[in-house]
Amino acid sequence: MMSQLDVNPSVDVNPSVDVDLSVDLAGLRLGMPTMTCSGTCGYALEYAEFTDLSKLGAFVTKSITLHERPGNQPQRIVETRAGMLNAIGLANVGLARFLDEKVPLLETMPCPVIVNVAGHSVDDYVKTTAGVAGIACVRGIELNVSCPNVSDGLTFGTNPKLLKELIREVKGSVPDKPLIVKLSPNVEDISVTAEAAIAGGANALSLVNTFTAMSIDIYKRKPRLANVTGGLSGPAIKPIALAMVNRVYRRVARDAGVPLVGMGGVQTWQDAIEFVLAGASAVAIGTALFIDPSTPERISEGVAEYCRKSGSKSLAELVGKLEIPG
Amino acid sequence: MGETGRLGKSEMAMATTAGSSRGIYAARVVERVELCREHFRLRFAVPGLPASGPGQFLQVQCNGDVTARRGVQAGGEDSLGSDAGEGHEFDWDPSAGPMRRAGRAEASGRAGASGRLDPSDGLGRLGQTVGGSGSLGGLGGVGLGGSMGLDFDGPAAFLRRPFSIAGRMELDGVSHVDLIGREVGVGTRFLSRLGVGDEVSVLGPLGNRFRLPGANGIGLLVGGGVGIPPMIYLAQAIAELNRLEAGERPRRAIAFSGALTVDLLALTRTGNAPRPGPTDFDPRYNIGEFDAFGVPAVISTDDGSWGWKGFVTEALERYLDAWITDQADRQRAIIYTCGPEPMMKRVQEIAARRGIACQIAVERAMACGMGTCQSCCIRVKKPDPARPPMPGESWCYRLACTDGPVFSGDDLLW
Ligand SMILES: Cc1cc2nc3c(=O)[nH]c(=O)nc-3n(C[C@H](O)[C@H](O)[C@H](O)COP(=O)(O)OP(=O)(O)OC[C@H]3O[C@@H](n4cnc5c(N)ncnc54)[C@H](O)[C@@H]3O)c2cc1C
Ligand SMILES: Cc1cc2nc3c(=O)[nH]c(=O)nc-3n(C[C@H](O)[C@H](O)[C@H](O)COP(=O)(O)O)c2cc1C
Ligand code: FES
Repeated sequence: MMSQLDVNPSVDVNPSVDVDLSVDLAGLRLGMPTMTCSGTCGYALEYAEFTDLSKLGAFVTKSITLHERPGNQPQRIVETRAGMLNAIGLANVGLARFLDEKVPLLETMPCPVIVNVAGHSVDDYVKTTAGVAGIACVRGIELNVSCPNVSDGLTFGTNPKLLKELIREVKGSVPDKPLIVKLSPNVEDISVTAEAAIAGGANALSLVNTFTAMSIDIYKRKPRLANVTGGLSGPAIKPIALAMVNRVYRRVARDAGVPLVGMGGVQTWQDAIEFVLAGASAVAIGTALFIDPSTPERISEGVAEYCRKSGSKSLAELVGKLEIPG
Repeated sequence: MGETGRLGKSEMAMATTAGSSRGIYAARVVERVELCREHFRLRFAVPGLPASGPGQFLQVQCNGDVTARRGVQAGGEDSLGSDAGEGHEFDWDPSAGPMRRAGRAEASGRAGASGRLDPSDGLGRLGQTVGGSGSLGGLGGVGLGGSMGLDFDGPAAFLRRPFSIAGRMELDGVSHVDLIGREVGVGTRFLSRLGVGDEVSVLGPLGNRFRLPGANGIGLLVGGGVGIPPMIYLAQAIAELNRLEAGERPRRAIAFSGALTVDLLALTRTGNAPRPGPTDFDPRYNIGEFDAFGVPAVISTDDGSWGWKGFVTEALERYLDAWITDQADRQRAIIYTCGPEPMMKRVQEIAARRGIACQIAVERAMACGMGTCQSCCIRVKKPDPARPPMPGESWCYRLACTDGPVFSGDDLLW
């Protein structure tokens, strides 16, 4: 279905020599414009055997909560047309085990590490963030305020006022590292929540998380997911995610000087370029990693080739360069 | 979980082939065999595939990707600025019939892709959408049709699909693996259409392995339906271990397999062996896959059309009660099982009641197979109920893809 290598960069050209793909993510320098999406790449080295992690711009961990969570009952996933639904329910080892078991592995990660933090209350978020912010190898925090699969996590992501307050509190515990706020697409106008996040002190925004969705087994007349609804990800959501990045960039992020990480269905270098033209400084790859963990590396190669062919010295100069007629 | 997945010294020695880290490999079909009305076996040449063991599986890309990739690489320069390069924004064309798809597959040079239509398509199967048709207008779409685990009558499998390794050999220095499949949806339909020369992408080997019986041990290999493949690989591994050790106290293995009826038995019956009667649960060397490794088999069919009439679990019980009765025998026996969940649960009970160790290879819906998506959870006994999560609860989740698929019968709560 997908063309996995749509460009075949000539072997004699080293992408990093002639084209600068690096990204300044609110002070954090990424060597490559590709990140992983939280929840699709494990905690640390799960993909180490399957791909060269040093080719990543940044590694983003599974969402960590203050306490360990078993997650939802199975069935937790369903494949849908050009995508999938998940209702994992933030299953994760919790802060204490994360520090004990996962941080030692993250210390060997050959690219910058960003820890994704989720919670139920302001207090949860602050404690968890404070618990990881001081770790040397943790170079940034991504705040998941938008997981659609836990009953009470969504309020922050959809209520601009609460969101702003939450971010203000959390930013206090990460004064010197970028705080990236991950936006929910399940809102009326994503530029409103984006604005609130920036007002609260977000240094960067990532968008989008999954779309609330469902699937029904018509023979059993039952939902396919035990949780009834789940989050839709994969190529199916890319055009919508793209429109949201475009909107947030033009309405708020560009003028505020806040970089965006574009995500949602990115699987090819063309997807990545689209997100960059729409206003993303970097892209993150999620569901596509399940099919091929080396997708980010291939995307970077393709992006470099695109820059080379279009005469761009750096990817940064293409950010937001979408030309809208009229 | 216990000892499953950890390798004994002799098993280490068995982990033959080279290749240090696991990854994605091109797998080319070198042989295709129809095993019965529904099951087919594909033998793939997979150069460079790292060492594997029974219980492990591969994540197989069940769509036209690899073919597409080869095509694109050839003409890759042109993809810049062209929509065609964007593989995933395809047109949904419900009017295109299967014949057109077959034509496309042939046109794109996929020698051996038969485009064969399946008669079971459409009406009549529970959970199967009616009259599967639809086509991928983009690159390399081949699969189509009805589905069970998906929410659509879709054009192609998006995620990879897990398949147990059913055997492994080195031929002319190249690793070959067998996979056995049965068409239940869009991904398995794609596989069922592969022919000699076709190439797919496989990721692995994934998951843990069965713990092999110790010296002088007895392995009882209970496989049903698409749970048979890992049992064949297990029989092979036990035979290889015996050969490697060339010791005085070889392990013994006996296979137990069943099907609804003989036409659905995913195994090769060899005519040169006596056919067991309806009350006969003596193992016979009459199944090619097991006989090749010196392993006799007890076959059951629900309708009595071949072998023992009844469930394979009944045959197993009879056998145990006749032959594995004293404490010493029970201690050196391990019951292995893979297949439909009710069957595996019954085997777990049978083993537990007799104090025989049991190793169960489970099946769960999997997106990644690499321990990252948390989709394949299964309940097991928590070693220490006081520990989080849910202090006080006696169970916790484990991942079928990395903690499993093999679990100890004592731990598994389903
Ligand atoms: C470790 C393991 C080993 C396996 N070994 C074999 C084998 O050797 N031979 C064989 O024929 N089949 C095997 N299976 C089952 C095989 O993977 C499924 O039949 C296949 O995924 C169906 O794909 P489909 O597109 O044809 O079916 P569809 O029903 O159209 O789609 C399957 C989709 O449903 C999901 N799904 C939902 N429930 C389940 C479930 N209980 N089990 C698996 N997937 C589910 C899958 O993730 C997938 O996305 C194995 C499964 C696992 C987990
Ligand atoms: C199985 C799965 C688990 C996820 N878990 C998380 C999570 O724990 N935290 C989070 O912020 N996002 C989570 N996401 C959302 C992704 O990070 C990403 O925003 C989304 O999947 C869109 O990108 P994609 O289409 O490339 O997958 C998860 C997505 C999937 C598919
Ligand atoms: S299949 Fe993804 S964690 Fe097991």
